[in-house]
Amino acid sequence: MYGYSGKILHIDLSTRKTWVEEKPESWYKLYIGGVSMATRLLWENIEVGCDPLSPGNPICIANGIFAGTPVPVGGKYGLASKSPLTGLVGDSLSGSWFSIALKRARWDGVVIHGASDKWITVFIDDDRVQFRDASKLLGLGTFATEEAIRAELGDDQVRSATIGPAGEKGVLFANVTNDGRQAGRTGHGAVWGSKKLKAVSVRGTHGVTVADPETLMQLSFQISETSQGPYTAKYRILGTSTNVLNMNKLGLLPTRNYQEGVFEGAELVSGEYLDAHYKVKKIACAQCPIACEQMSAVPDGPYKGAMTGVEYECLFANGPNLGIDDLRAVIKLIEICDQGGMDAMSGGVTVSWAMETFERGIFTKEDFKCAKYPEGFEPHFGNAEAAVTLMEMIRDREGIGDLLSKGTRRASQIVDAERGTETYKWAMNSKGLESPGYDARGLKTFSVGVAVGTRGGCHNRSAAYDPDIQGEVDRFSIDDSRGEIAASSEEYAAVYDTLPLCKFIRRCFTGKADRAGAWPTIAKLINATTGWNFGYDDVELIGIRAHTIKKAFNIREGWKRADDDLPYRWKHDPMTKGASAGHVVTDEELEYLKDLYYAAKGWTKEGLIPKAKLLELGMDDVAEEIGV
Amino acid sequence: MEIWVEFVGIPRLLAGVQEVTLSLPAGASYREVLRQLARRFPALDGQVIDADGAKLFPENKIALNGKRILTESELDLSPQDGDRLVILSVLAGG
Repeated sequence: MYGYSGKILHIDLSTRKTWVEEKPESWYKLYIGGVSMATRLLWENIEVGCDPLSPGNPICIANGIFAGTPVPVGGKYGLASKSPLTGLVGDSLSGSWFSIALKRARWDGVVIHGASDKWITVFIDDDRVQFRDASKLLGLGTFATEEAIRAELGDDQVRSATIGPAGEKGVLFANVTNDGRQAGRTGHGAVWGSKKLKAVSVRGTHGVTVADPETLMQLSFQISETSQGPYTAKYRILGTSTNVLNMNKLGLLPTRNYQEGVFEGAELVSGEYLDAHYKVKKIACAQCPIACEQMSAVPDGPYKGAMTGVEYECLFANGPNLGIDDLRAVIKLIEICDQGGMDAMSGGVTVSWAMETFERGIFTKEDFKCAKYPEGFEPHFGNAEAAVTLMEMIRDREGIGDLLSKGTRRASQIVDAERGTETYKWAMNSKGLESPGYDARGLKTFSVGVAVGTRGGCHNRSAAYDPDIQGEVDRFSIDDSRGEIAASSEEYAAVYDTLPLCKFIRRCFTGKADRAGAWPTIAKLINATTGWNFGYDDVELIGIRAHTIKKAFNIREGWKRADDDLPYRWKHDPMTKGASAGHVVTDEELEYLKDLYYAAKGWTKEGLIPKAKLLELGMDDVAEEIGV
Repeated sequence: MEIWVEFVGIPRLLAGVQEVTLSLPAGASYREVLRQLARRFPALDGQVIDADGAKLFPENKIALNGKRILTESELDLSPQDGDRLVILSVLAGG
């Protein structure tokens, strides 16, 4: 096979044994790589109903088809486990050198089973696997862990995926970090921590063989050249943080725990302000010509020296959503998350829930006692020092940080059960995963996209906000077209997440980002890499299968139609200011949208997948297990 | 007729200003607004505004009073006195 080794590496941390599984080419044609292959490996290697923090929950890593080739933005891998945050599929992506090293070590995927009794790292050195003592690495941040492993092994070419203190402590939205990039959302770091696995390191020394190097080089050069033009200017020059003002103008910028969609301090936390005052460097993932990450540093004030990459989602969550208009504090908060190994979106949204709960008088100063403030503190919205302290308490599970480390759904359930309150009404999550920076009350198509998302409240798995924001549909109303749009958007995104290719390249194939503009070139890239004969329809099926295997996993774990839901606030509390004021997504609207969406997918009214549909996709064994 | 135009993101960097007021003859279309902007801020021409065709390049949009994004066919319509237009680069992801 070209482009693949045909081999999956299995590692059992309990027994310290390893074995190799060979997969047929037909299997690769179905699941390709990235989130699709990672979820398929999860499907094959977990017992139904398994506790996500038990040894039975495998860590499934699936490389990208283009990792280690010249294809721009193709250096990415997928990661899947059962999520401790949602109890459903947890699938994430990360980019850069780790995936390339894994490709050069000739592994298409890695499945890690069991749990170690002592803290270890796993070192995959081409076809050899070492289990190494990690006791000296405990407590180190994510970036420091990578550096320490390189120093220990005496090889600066070793690439590691690591967890930080948050993963060690079991914060349920802890993430996994490699090369400064995060496989975020859904709590992979907690799964790794439950196995006492501090890092997976890889050294790969082989070349990558493709079927048609000349064509692949030609296409890659063309795409790379186009990627330096206007189609990616917004990503290259300001990065995703430019969305702060866009969302604010449209009344969609989550502010003070999504109470409003307009933030009076938006200019001060905008991408434009960041660019002018705090940006020090642009960073690119390996194999990426775009370089969207805006590395930013704090030059003065109490957080002087803090430095990290700033993206829109972590910026909204830790800025406007906390009522904070000082980018120096926002950079510090994101740094705590990135170095501590926590999802900055879930972190920010969980802190905002705590702030609102405090402002409503349910939490008091007493609840916020900690070593730093033995008498407690008052986390009002806008109190940057309180937010920083709370984020550190979450990372360390200190005091109330222990409660907050469970995320908004569990934390609100615990508080409401203990105190007879209704804090769930402002717990902003879907399926337990904290909401993104697009307020669905003013984006009706996106509202169904985020409600049905297989991994919970996520903007990356459904781009259904795009037609709302682009003005292709009326974003404040619903009609019969929205189910189809949401389904189509999800499957479109799943193609990119499976190859994986970064979605920021999507307009650089032909100038048009739609399927007609992108799929023919993507098919050529696949064919030049593998020697296959994929066409437009085959590329389309990549996304459909990827989404189907994730949905199938959830169904097998007991998913029900009622789980496809929105946060209470988006259904009942209209905003009072800005362009999206006065709107909610009613229960009636949401149920109607779900009907439309399930119908568009060809599923039953209860959202289950007909056996015939699965057989059409070549997913026969899945049909046997969950088809109806 | 007087309208306000605000720039966000790349359009703001190129224009070098945050906001501008435009006076337009009654009945002038949004395309005329774009032509005026391209004349006044030449850095926008060819990067954000295609002045020949009096339209925006695909990455850029006009938000009308914050409520909605104008489609290309709506550029033939006329703004109302006092309207606030935001020229922004719509972006997905992050």
